[in-house]
Amino acid sequence: MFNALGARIIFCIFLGLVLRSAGVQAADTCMLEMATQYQSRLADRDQRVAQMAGSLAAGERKVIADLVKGDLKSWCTDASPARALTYWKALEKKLTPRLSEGRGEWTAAFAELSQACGSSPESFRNAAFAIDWMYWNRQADTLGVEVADALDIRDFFYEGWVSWYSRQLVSRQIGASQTQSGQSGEPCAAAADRDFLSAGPMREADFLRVLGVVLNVLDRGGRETVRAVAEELDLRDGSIVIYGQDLLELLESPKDLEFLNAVSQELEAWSGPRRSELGRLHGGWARLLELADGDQARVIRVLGVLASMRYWPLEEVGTALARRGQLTCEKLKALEQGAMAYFRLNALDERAALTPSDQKGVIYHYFYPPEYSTRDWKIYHWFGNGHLGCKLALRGADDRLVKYGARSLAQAYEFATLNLGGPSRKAMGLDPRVRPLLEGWEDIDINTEGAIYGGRACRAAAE
Amino acid sequence: MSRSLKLVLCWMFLAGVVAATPVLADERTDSLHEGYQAEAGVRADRLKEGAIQPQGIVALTGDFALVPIPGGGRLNGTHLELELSSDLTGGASGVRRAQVALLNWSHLRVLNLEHNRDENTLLAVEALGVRVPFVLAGDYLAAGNYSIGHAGFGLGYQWQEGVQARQKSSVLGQQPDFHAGSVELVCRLDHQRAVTDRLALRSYQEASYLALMGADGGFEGRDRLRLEGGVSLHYDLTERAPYRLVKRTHPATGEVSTIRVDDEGMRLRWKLLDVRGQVDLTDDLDRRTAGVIVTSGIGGEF
Repeated sequence: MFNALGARIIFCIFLGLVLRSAGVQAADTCMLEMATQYQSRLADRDQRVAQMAGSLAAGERKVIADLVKGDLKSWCTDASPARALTYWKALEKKLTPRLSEGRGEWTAAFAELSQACGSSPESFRNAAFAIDWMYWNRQADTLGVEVADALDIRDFFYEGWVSWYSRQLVSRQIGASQTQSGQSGEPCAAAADRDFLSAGPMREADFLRVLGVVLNVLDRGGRETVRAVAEELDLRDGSIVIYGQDLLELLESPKDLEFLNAVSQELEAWSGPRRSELGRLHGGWARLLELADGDQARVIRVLGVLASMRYWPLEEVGTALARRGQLTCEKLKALEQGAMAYFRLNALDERAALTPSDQKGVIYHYFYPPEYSTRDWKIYHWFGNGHLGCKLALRGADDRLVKYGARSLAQAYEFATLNLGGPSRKAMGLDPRVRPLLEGWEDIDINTEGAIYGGRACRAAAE
Repeated sequence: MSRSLKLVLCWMFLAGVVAATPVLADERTDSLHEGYQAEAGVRADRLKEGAIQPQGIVALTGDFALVPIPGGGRLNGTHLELELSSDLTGGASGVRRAQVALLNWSHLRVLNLEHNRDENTLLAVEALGVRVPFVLAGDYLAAGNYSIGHAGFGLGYQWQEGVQARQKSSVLGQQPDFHAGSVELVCRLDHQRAVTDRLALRSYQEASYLALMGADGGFEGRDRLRLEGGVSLHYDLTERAPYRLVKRTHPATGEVSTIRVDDEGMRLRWKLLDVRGQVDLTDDLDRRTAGVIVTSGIGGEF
């Protein structure tokens, strides 16, 4: 831990010296302040990781140390989702038998894994992803803590990753802006490489577009809706970020960023001192509306675009902007807040959910409008598709076409992702057949319901 | 569960029973439950000439994770199946049916090889099969009850063995082997109803149309329109409980409550009784027109 902490302090001092010697501009000063904030957060995180790991017995520590040298060697350095299955199997094989009896020991085990990796950012992200994966598959309760608490721990690790990544972007932005000023405004060389901002349309999406047109050969409304969905999604080659153009426009909108900032502060408060407010039915939605001055379209737009895609906008859009020296403090903050809002909305929604009398799942209500609740945990599906519905409605689509557009897209997506769901669930020893189908169908429903709500909200706002 | 859903499920089970009565399912095409199974029983086929052909059968099926994934891990869904049969008089016996499918998911089938003696199929290769799923009833949190449909197609090749048959001259003669490209259209409904936490009733109905286009000396087309159905009763023998109780604390009041979460692991199930059947409305491929199969078995499955 000392090494990691020491390295980070040295990094900060180094960054400060470089900027001072270069004669920092106002924008860079702001960036430097952000870098200091991230650094401070990461240092705090290291301390907490050490505390969390402290409860683990020596035997388990030894097992984890061996894992990091053996089966989980890349845990410290490789956070690609493609490794997740391998990681899962190693954890299950070595740790499950030892930790199944202990309450909360998994938390300590993930913390110990991070410690053993020298608090590497990849180890944070892998720990968070492992908890996420368990949650997606209704296994988070087996971690030995309540599900909502498991999500808080997940978010703790994700925040470590997001802070680290944001700090990297600060360095990149400062480097790019200095290069640009030194070269009389010439674009930096790195920007010429393919990234989110320079990518063309996703080629694979052409097939779906053509299929949509063929299936709607007799229905002009359906054809136009499919075309509109494809345009609004703005799928880009090599990217998993959707709504790209909307996202860039949103980052230029002071009112939207102000709203996101206010939402982030509320989410923090609900996670801590104002937790008891989560007991209020649909209380989150009511507060979101207050913060947006009653503008439902803003709530859906900001959360649907910036807080429905994990940290991908931070990674893809943030990196592309920083390479060009175009990442401002406001944009970086928004991308970082959006990433964490995705996770916190989910964690708070889970904690606030009602226990139904039939004991079948929970009823999510907190961030949804009063007339809506669901047993599907995927709040980001609702908001993300709410934005799609909004955009379709603004193009003139009625409820029927909005429903058709969102449902068609969701069916194609769920069908394609069955290829991922089955194998990964089998690897976890979970039902790889019936439940993925049932879950996919429920997701199609929540997508459609979100899109219809978003469409109506934007239609009303436009009138 | 809503009253209307119960009515729909009851109706579908009834339909499954009715459909199963006159006929017999040839394939164990339940791709919704992955695992390993052994079963034994009897089957009776009605032949075109009116005779009934009874057989005893023993079948073994298994789903394995064999296909490697780039980056680590293996894909599930490689399906193996072997069915041995013997006529009940102690006469001919041997492999009646064998199947190896590289991938046999519920929505996708890739490189599915099959041999079926009773259908005169020396080798059938389904290169690609696509099934679009649709859920009629059921949800993730109570997956013991569902109705799931699939509609799709398969593309492949078949090698049909030439058999002794009456020619146009009414003289009995040997037909040549038939090599053909195949297209199959399928529509299937699967249902499950949890009678108790451990006892489940399953049924299915399937309609399929198989068209073969090939040559046995000249260009020829053959086809088969088949209806299938079945109903079975499964008892969960697994020692651990079928569900977990998950604790939750209310964020405002501190009140503690619990919800039930199904245990999704592989479970040992005793198939108490499985009755399946099929009827071929049109069939140029073999001598059978209908049949019934009754089996019992045991297996570990999801």
